Amino acid sequence: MSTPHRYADPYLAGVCLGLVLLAAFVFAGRGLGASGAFASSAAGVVAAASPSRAAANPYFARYLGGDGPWREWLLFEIAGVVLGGFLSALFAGRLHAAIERGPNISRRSRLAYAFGGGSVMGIGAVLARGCTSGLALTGGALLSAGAWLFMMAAFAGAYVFAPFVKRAWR
Amino acid sequence: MNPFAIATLIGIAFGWTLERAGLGSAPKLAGQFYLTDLTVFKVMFSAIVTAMLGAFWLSRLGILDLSQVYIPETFLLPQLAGGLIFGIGFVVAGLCPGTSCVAAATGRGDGVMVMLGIFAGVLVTGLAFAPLRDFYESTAHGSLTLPELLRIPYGVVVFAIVAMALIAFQFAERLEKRA
Amino acid sequence: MRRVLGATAAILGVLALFAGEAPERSADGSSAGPPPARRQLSAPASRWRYSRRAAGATLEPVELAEWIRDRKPHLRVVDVRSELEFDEYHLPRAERLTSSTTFAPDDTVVLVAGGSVRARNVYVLRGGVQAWIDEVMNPTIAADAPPSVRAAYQRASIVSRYFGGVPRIVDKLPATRANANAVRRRGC
Repeated sequence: MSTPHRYADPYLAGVCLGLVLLAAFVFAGRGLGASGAFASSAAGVVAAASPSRAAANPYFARYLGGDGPWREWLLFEIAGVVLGGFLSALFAGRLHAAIERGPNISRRSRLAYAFGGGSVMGIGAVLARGCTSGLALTGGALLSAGAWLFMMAAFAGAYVFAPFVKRAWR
Repeated sequence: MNPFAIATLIGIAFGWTLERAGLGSAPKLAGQFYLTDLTVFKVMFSAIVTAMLGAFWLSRLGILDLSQVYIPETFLLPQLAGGLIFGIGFVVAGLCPGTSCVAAATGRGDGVMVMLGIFAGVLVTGLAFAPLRDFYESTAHGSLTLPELLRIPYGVVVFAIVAMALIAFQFAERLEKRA
Repeated sequence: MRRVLGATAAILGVLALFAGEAPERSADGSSAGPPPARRQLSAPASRWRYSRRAAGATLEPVELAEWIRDRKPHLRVVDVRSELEFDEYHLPRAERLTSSTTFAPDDTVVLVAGGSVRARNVYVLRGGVQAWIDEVMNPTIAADAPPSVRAAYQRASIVSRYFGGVPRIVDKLPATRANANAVRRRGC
């Protein structure tokens, strides 16, 4: 197996990411997002299990208008994210099955932390109506006050909690 | 072009760029919060500055009509609380919703688990939404922007953020050398 | 390379200080020109201006006082109390909310009630009248819509008929663009 390529310069990657975001503004009239794709899928799953329950739920009902929860811009975008990530890793020799974790934690624990951390992020994303892609990046660039507040709160929460999960990463 | 086709193309570029930067790797992302690897900060703020300058100048030159671009709305308390909660989850998981998809796409089992966790979190919160609704709708300020909030012209805010980012990048470089 | 990126950002940032305002756009997308006329009910999906704070925010009394004193353009102070209460005392330049009260798109509207109105009891209709017309009076789904969409349509149809609306199932929905209203409904 050939040695994987080095990662790109973070500033250059950031500028490229900013240009992608700008392209979204110009060609789609909106920015990026990720948590919304999860919300729309959740609405779709609830609706598949019980359409009336979904229609009566004030959070999921909003995804049931238009063409339904599966014809959602963010789902198509996330499909692209998966494809783009895959292709980049493929060409860089970074494509392999693995469970990435800190040096002092087992695979099992890492997976538990991943699921637990993910769930907590899901709660936060629902309340804030977005995540790092939709709020911090998009809202940050467009100078949304709530987005900047979310971004600072997220960094604060992470830094304050980091010592408690040190064993996962150090 | 079909809006969903545009979404997919933009997504491909998004995912590609994240993976190139190494943000599909949880230990790298987590390094941000132990001050050993500040890639998250550098990528995020370079992106924000680039898109912010791009939006400002394209709008100023009449090429982009910002009133046609959706600006994420402000809900002070839910976004403060949601942000803190999200940050805690982030440092535990090591990946955010977007990067978890990149990690999963490149074969990382932990990325898949984060995705499942996010889905579960969103699902449960949605099902239990009724008692949260009042809080969720509180402190709404619509599409409030920093220039409006601070009563400073748009261009001045842009300048200030660029200046702060460039200074912060210098600090980031120094911090990393010490780690 | 980093120097080039940094220098470019710095230059564009400094120039932004002197750049002034973006050209104003009226409802049909052209720049400048006379103020837009009152919105017709059949107008396309609402557009909002970048510099405008959306309805629903709370305003401090002192700030309103400054707006009134400074003759803020297009300010409408609308008192929602009864005629009796209004005649007893009302704010300077206030008007009572009557059936003939209309607003122009440029107006800054401040609702004045009797006491403190907790935000929970005051709602702003998402999408305004246009959304009411689209979703209550004329709920429309495609024939091949999934069950979840049908269930929502069912719920809308009941109340739609109550108000004399026309629920409809069509062969094909008109193409929808990813625009501000769709995103506002679903988030990011």
